[in-house]
Amino acid sequence: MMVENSSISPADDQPILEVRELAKHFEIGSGLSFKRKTGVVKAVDGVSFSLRPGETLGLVGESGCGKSTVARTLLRLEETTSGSALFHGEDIFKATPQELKSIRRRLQVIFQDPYASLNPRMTVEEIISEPWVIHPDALPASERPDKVRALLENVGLRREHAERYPHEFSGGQRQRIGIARAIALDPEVLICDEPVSALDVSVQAQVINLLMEIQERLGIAYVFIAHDLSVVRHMSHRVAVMYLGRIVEIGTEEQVYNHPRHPYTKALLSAEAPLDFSKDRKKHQRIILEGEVPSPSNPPSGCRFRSRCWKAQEVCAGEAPPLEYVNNHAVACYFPEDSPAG
Amino acid sequence: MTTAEQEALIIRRKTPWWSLLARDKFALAAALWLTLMFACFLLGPELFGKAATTLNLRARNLPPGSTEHGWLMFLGGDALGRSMLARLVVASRNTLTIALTAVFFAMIAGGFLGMIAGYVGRGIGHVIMRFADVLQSFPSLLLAVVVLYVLEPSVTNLIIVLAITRLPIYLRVTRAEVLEIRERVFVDAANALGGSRYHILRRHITPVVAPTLLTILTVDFSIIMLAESSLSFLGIGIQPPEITWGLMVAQGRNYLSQAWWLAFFPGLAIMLATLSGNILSNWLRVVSDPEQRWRLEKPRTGDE
Amino acid sequence: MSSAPILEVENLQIEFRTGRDTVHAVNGVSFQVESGETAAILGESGSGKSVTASAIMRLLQSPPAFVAGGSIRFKGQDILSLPISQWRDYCGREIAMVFQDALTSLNPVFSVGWQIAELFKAHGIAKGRDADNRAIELLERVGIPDPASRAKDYTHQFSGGMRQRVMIAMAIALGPDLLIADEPTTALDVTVQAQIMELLESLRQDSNMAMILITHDLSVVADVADNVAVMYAGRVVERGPVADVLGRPAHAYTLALLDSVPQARGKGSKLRPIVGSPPDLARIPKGCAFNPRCRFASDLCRNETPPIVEVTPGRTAECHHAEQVFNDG
Repeated sequence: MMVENSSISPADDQPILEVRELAKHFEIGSGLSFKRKTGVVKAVDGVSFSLRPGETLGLVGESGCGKSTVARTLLRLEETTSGSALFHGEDIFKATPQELKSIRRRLQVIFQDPYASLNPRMTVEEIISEPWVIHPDALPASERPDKVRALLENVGLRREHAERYPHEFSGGQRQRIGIARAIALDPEVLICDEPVSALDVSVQAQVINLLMEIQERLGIAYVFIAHDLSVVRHMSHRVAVMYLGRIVEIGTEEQVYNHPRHPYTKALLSAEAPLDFSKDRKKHQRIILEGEVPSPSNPPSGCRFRSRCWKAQEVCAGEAPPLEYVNNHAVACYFPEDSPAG
Repeated sequence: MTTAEQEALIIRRKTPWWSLLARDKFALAAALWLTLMFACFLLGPELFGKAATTLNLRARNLPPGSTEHGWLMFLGGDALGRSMLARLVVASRNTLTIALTAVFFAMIAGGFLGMIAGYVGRGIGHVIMRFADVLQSFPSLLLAVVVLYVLEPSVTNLIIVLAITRLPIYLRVTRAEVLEIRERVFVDAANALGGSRYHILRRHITPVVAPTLLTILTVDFSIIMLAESSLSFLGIGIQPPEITWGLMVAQGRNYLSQAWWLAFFPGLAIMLATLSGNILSNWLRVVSDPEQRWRLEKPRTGDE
Repeated sequence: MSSAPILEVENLQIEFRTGRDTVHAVNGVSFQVESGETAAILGESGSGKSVTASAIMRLLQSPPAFVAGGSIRFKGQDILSLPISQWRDYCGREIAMVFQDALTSLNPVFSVGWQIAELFKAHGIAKGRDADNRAIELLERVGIPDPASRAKDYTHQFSGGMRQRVMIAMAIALGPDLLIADEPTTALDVTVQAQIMELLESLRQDSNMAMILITHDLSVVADVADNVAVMYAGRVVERGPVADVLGRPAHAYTLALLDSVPQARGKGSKLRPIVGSPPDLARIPKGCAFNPRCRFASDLCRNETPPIVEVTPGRTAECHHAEQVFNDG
């Protein structure tokens, strides 16, 4: 089976990955009995988005919003409760083990924790060759040592590093090893689950640049998950903002950051102080939200943000607001900010 | 890459394992002792078989330390005047055959079941764990007695029984480790690459579990030897004139007040075997762990 | 500066001696904190910022940590030479600390109210009912709703942000003159971060307490600090008023750090990351510790420790090329 070459042309509007009404509910059982359920945590509750070849979709939200669960279900590390995810028209959630194996070859992942994601007992060479051990037809064994070293150079490490063990590297370097492993099979989609949040600022920038460079060169589409708004903005073409298991706003990076329409997006953006060091800098006005994100086991009815929203009215407690599109900029709110384009 | 990083990652050659072993006095002594035991195991009965069964009535319960009856009597003589040294050497074959095979099978079977219980599924995991509970709650000696009365008391049956009674420990430890390792991110990564269960068990889980099991194995070794001696004492294990160290301890117990060396030397042999095994398995554990290996590679030049 | 500084750290040196290496975590750090000001210590992991804070609180375990030199004076008193029994009187009353991880810093088996009341009892300030009431007052002051009933709750019943508020309540309970906040918002969500920083700032203004804010987050510094000390490889490489230092850096590291941060407002061009990674503190490069990663580095930087240059009044940088960086940046 050949890996398709993905193109980056914007005219190619056919999505490579289309997620529809994805839901993942965790049942909390009470200790001893298997049957009794004490509650259901709706970690992800009806998330839909699409990803076009070569683009980056940012998925941003605070802890507990379900962004990492989305990643884990797309990778089938967790089974979904309902919904579908079409990868080239093929539903990931319904794929048989053989189909899944071929999907995974084209859909790869970078994890948050560069310390835990590499097996400490394997050399870098073994780690990066693992994809070919699993998919032996991808690359003949004789070519693997050279390819490992080429990949190491591609991600900014040196050829000699192949013989070392992960503990000999810094966090940023380990993340590069993780990236080398993820791109070893020439995937079309890379799911980046908080790939830089465990790194120091100066190293973060290196990895961000590397990821952008790889995208330019190989045309891989990214689902870029992070809690850091500025990192997501820097990386993404389009951005989806999540709150308590739902997408509240989705649009281009420009639309979401410059003209946020959902009150939560506005608050989130204003929470981060700007890097402005002029003398009058203290005048930064932020919207300070009250309280914290409610527990996903007992979310508010209707719009889930209403318990912290300054615009909330009675209607918000009823039916949950649907995601409504205006110029490819969707917002799930009954009282959104005006769209600048009308 | 910058020069700083080249400096930070100092190029160092991997020290070969035998050189590391030579540097660690305890591990080296343990390895030498085990080699000696293995030599006894291979050649003992052929070289000393005769000496071990020759009766010398003048050397009955001869205390150790004298050479007037020849160097074979250096460790003393037993109640029938046989050479202790020769008997110890000859007994090594039976002892090691039974104890090693039993712990080995217990480890393989326990480890295998533990991996299934920890990795494959909840349902089968529960079944396996209840099976382990039953095995463990049944007094192991009683289990052995029952089985060996029903079956023939033979070396094979003895090994099977001993292996079964030790199995739950390996099973539990393996399962506990597997449950922990399977949650690690690198296992997720292998999963996301499309790795099969078998692939993950083999490449990621076994290498972490194996050193732990090996350490337990060495401790278990002495327990098995003593269990075997109890069974032999009850007449359902190894039968004289065949000998094992455990049996020698059991026989020597009757003479403890007159001739302590009858029980002491075989006991010492068991202890040294266990201790050496333990030291060596700990050393192996460190050598096989890339993050720990430096502890052995550190040159011993002063303290700081 | 008019008044005498409340805290003076001078040439502080701290080493960790492990069997393998000696790690030079702090190599001659000096700074002052004036009473009532917010001073930030900015640095990445391994820069020595948290070790410095722990040294001020005398929280370092020795061994492996050793103070190899320097002094820390609080209101003129050298606190490193104080006997530990006397130091306990300072702790909480004069200097207090807020940690990053509230969950492990609070005791899980006692109620929150009990833990705060115990503070008053231990220091002989209040007893019985009175101590309990003061605890409730404090919880109210840090913005915990329904404090009387929440005081009976245990730490696991609080959310992350609420827990951090409880920690802050305990830290300010005895009215310290100096509060050290070690990454107080790092473990929290963005919207909650904003709340906690607001709370710390208002408490500080109310009681005119000085605060040392230890953080890696530039935007937190920009938001609340008056003065900042930038740390790299165990040294303060640059310090001065925030607007000056971060507005127009004079040390190559500060400049590079600012260049490598993406911003949420206004999508910047390509980031300019700092090459390589921070040095191994057991093998700090010769000369300026930053030289292998620095784009201004010259032979001078590789061989000689840079002097402390006064860039503008009240503002110093430890860089051979301070002037060039200052004019370039």
